[in-house]
Amino acid sequence: MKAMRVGFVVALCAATAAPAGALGNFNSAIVSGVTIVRQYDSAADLIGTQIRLQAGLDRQLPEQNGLAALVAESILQTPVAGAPTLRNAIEANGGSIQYDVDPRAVRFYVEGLPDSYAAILGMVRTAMSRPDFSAATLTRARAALDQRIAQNQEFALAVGLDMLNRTFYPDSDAGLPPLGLPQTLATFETADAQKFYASYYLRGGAIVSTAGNLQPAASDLVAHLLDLLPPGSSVAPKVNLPQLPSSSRQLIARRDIPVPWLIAQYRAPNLNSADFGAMLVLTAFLQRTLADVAGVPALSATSLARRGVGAIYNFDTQPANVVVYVDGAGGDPTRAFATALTVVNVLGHAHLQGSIADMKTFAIGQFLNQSATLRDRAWLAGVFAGECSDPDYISRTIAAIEKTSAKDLQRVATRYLGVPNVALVLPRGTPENPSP
Amino acid sequence: MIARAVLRAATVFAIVLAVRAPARAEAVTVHADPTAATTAIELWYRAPAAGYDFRTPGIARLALASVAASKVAGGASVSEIVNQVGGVLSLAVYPDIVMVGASVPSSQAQQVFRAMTNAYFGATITSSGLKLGAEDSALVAAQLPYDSERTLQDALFAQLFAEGPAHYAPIPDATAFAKFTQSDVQNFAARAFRRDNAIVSLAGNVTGLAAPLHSEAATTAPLDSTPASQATQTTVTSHEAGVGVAWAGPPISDTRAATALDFVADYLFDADHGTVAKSSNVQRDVLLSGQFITLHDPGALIVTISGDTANSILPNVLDAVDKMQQPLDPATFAAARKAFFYHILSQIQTPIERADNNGWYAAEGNAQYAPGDPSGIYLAAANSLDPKFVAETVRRYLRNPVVVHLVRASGESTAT
Repeated sequence: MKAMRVGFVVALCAATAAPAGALGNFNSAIVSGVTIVRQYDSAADLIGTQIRLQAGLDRQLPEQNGLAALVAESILQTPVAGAPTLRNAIEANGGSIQYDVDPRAVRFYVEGLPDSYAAILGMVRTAMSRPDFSAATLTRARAALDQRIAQNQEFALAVGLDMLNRTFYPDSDAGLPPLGLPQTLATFETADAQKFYASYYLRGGAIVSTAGNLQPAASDLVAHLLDLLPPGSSVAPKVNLPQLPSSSRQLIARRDIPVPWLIAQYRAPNLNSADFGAMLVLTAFLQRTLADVAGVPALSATSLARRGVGAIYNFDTQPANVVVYVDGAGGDPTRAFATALTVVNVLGHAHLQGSIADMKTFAIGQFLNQSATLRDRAWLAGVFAGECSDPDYISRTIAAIEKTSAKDLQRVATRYLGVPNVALVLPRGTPENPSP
Repeated sequence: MIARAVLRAATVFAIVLAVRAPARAEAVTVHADPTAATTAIELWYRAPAAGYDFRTPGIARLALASVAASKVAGGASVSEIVNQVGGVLSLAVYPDIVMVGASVPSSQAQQVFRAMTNAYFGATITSSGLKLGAEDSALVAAQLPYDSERTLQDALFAQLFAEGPAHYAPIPDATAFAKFTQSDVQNFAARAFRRDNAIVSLAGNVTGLAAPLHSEAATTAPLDSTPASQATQTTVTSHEAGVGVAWAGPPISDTRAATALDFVADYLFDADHGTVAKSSNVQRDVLLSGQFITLHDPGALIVTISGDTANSILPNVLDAVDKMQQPLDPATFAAARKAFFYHILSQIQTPIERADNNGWYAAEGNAQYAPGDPSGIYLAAANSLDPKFVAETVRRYLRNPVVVHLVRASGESTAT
């Protein structure tokens, strides 16, 4: 099918956060300790389900970096239904499966055609309850992870975020590289994977969030998708990661990239905080201000998508954070960044006059526009169900933004957008850029 | 709550829309989803990107951008209005068709739709709009040489088509845009963007949008290009190494054959799951992608390979196409077709993807063939495929490709 594709490199912008959306028809319940969320959408052609388990990075010990990813990848590599792997079996039935390893959770996303979706969920249920951690499967899983790790190293934003997260989460493994490192992955054996799986693939705290054209058979299966996992919940092991002996808030890395990138990270209010709406407005404002001061005439998505400029509010993790990034395609990225920060500081301290309605309209529009795929919708409903016990992320977000006042904006800007940690990712062989 | 209010209004409009759903002779395509929080609004035009005499490459991109940047009657420009509401503005230029589109919150859709139709149907271009449009177009053009997939597409089309809009790259080098006068751009916009040449594509929550209906017969006829009489091999210099191959394919009216080549492109050449992309000798630095581009007449199947070792992958591509001249075994075919269904539908999930998809097929002359159209023509064609027909279609169309090599070197391109 199709129109000529124009190859934008937007994948890196989607690396961390996301947002989602449509006026959903939400329904949620707790079944056998699992929060089940359904968004019915008869206009959709597909169904997507996100499975969120408390088996993310913070469940690892420092010497286990990469084990959470290896277990998740092994599940996708598990032979099922006569196919060599779960992934192959799902693809042959008209679907796909992916996963992300987050600081506090692992998230699987399964999408497919309505007529075969019940069969696809059945395969997922089987593989997730009886994963294969044989040496052969672990070898395939390591190879797949090594490839993803190498790809991530080509994305400056991912490299910078890995560095920043290392200092953002000092009390657990939550800030270590999500997929591990090839050298650590090579050390894990069958028993390591089995033990991690047995300890953390539990029903307690799990969320299954589905969206789309959900038929009755698949709807029933969604409710019982994790029934074969043991009950109970887990806690993250307490660890004390040694911090770098420096007072500098700037981290530097060099990679084979064409232009330098500046990535900054701030602590931010959690989703259930009264400051959530104000931070959404501020993040949208930062995004727009950065694009303006980067000096790019960005009439359209075509031109803006080709520039790495943005602000992401990661409210799906705890503690939440805001990440701001600028690439150096238009010159020194620290200048654009410093100018944007100055604007925010002025906003935080000046006497604001007039209405902030335009800022709120812009923030709502951004949120809705960035939350349209089934994957985003399933993800957001799951996040809101987990944090607020209400999966209706659209109404809650719009309400939070609408009730934001100018005073709220100033208070939140002053409280959170102070001095960030900064990562500079530089092309190999160029002099260091000064920090802003 | 805004969301609840929009939902109620959307439900009401769904009924209205059902009553006055446009007949297919009208140049409007609508995919209504009353549960959507956003609306996609697109205006498509059959207009040659290189100008009506093909001597002004870039004029269509410049005209699209200049109208978007021009303030209408002292108010805000389309670009400003879309940005103010947190929307996304898209400008797309292909050899034979162009599009301006916006994805906005549904509550803002009427305002944005009105602004877009006023600006484009009136072909409003101010001097400051022209300046901004030229800057924006130059920025996009300056980045294209680093997009080897796009560079290969343009070079392949230039070889595949001897005459017509597809022979010319839709976006030229970055210096081209400053050479046009306001009068040049205004004249092009007035001819291309006129009301009765517009094909309106709406998707998502279309509450309250009254599309300016007119007969499709009033629009410019689809702009076809003439295939070259013989296959060529060409070398083009670029910032990245690569190689591409292309074949002329069936017209959009031959829905079964066109769908068969969609299937072949998906099965063999999809960047993520195609059998060739997954070949063991494809290095990590290589990006392989293939697609059948559905055009009015003829279509084109193109495969692009970027990266330093791209040439070593070319035999994989040609061997894979040769093997497809023989029918796949039934089990492999059944699994591949099921996966193909999913891939097609996964590309039209959001309102903006729907509007893009529907608008493209309408502009190329067969709106009902768009995947996801309620007529079900596309899925029926996909369902009708069998291994024998696919092999026959490959034998019929995929012989003697044109080949373009991208090399990192200075100098002129040379045709052999």
